[in-house]
Amino acid sequence: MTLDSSPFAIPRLDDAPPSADPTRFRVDRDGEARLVGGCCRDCGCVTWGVRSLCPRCWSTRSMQEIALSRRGKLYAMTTVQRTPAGYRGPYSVGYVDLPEGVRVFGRIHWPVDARWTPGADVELIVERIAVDDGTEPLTVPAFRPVTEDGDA
Amino acid sequence: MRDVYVAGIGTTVFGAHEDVSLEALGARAVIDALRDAGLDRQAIETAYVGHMSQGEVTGQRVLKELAIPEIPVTNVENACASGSSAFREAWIAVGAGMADVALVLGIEKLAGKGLLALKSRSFEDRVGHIMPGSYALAGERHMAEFGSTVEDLAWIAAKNRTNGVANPNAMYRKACSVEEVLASRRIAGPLTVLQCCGTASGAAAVVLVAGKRADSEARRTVRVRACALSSRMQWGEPEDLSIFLPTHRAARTAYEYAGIDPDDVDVVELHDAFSVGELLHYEGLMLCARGHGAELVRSGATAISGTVPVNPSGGLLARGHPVGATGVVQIAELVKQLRGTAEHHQVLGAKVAVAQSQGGTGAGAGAAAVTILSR
Repeated sequence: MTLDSSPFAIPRLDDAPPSADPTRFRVDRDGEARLVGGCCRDCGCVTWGVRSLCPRCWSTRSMQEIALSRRGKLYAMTTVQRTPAGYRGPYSVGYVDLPEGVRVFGRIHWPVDARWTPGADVELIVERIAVDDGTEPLTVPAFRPVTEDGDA
Repeated sequence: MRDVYVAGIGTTVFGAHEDVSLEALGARAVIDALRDAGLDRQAIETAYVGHMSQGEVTGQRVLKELAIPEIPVTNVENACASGSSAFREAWIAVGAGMADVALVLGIEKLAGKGLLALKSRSFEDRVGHIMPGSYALAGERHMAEFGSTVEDLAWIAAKNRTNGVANPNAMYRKACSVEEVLASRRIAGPLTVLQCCGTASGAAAVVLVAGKRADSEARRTVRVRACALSSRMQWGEPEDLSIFLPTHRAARTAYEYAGIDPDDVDVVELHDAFSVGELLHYEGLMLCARGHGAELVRSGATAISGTVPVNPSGGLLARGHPVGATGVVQIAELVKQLRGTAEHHQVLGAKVAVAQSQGGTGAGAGAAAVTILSR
């Protein structure tokens, strides 16, 4: 996904608000949104976000940063109606399972009034969230259904 | 493990209690439990106090106001399973012979009214997740996999809130219909506000004794058959959200330890913080087969008039949820059922009772406890 192609794209790099967690999600200098993962050099364990300790083999500082897949399968989603203070809703959140065996969490952009389907193919986009409490907006990962030709 | 008996119970009314101090809440429950057990404060040899967010040395701060002797006091936190976890520690202490008499206190004073929110603020929270959202996601998955419906969930909430009308200690005592539940304010996914528990303050206490101190019929009536605890510690691998596995593991351990079959269970008090919780806990507790929770709902078996009434006291939905107190008040309610002294919705001839609670964050960390009591 590049800056120009998505309705949720950040118009200019300079405008990109901070990620809700840059160890897990970033919009890079070249405009690509990516989910950040860690892969352990010693045992191959993959986590969402780089960790200083591999949870599987306990090696320290063995995790290398990798870009996780941009596509996955929708595991579950739900629409939040009673949003937390400062958050404008409703919006949907949910879990997506990536081919690396990692489950990620983000906003889900499913067509309104259509029932979600478990296992649906979804792809990563970026969403800017404004929180009405005077803090800076955040960018968070979001997913939308993939269609045959790649356009949602 | 030696046999352990419940000799006494005590509970406060659950409510806002804005003008009641933490110490006063705890005192009420402890005094009632000791009087019910017919025991003097000098008899207590150890105390376990379950709470989530009342601060350091909460147990000692509360018990010193009753001039309880300076016995070992352990404070226990496991989110919403704090009270149950404290009870389990006391059961182990008495069963192992470390004490003949143990006091369990569950207590919480929560400010304000509204939906439950935990302290930790995770990435998921910043994306816009809410505590009910975790249950909403589990509900969505269960509905997608097994065909349960929003009506099934609403039935559970209507049942429990209506049961609670007859409970003088409950905070939210208003009957409601399935339609009213469905029409109430939407929270997340299938959950409407009447399907979500409200905050409350309150305390409940229980006195456990070893066999040699269970020297009256009253003290020997209720025996603790098993207390099992399991955890949720998910570091990242995808887990099945259509079942609460920690509850299921704790249930299997408890039934096996007690030598009891789920079919033998006469009455249950379980963790209905959200309606989805009760639906999934039916399966976790093996009151029905995996995936068949909705059928159990539709059969009416868990209604007051059914074969295995669940939450006759009204559950968390009607009582409110003073976090640390919940696990202990469940025990107190079941003790009344087994003694035949429930003020409301007495399950006739109840012999085997199960309590279940669970607590945790939406980000993979939590606990579930299952306790079996019998007469």
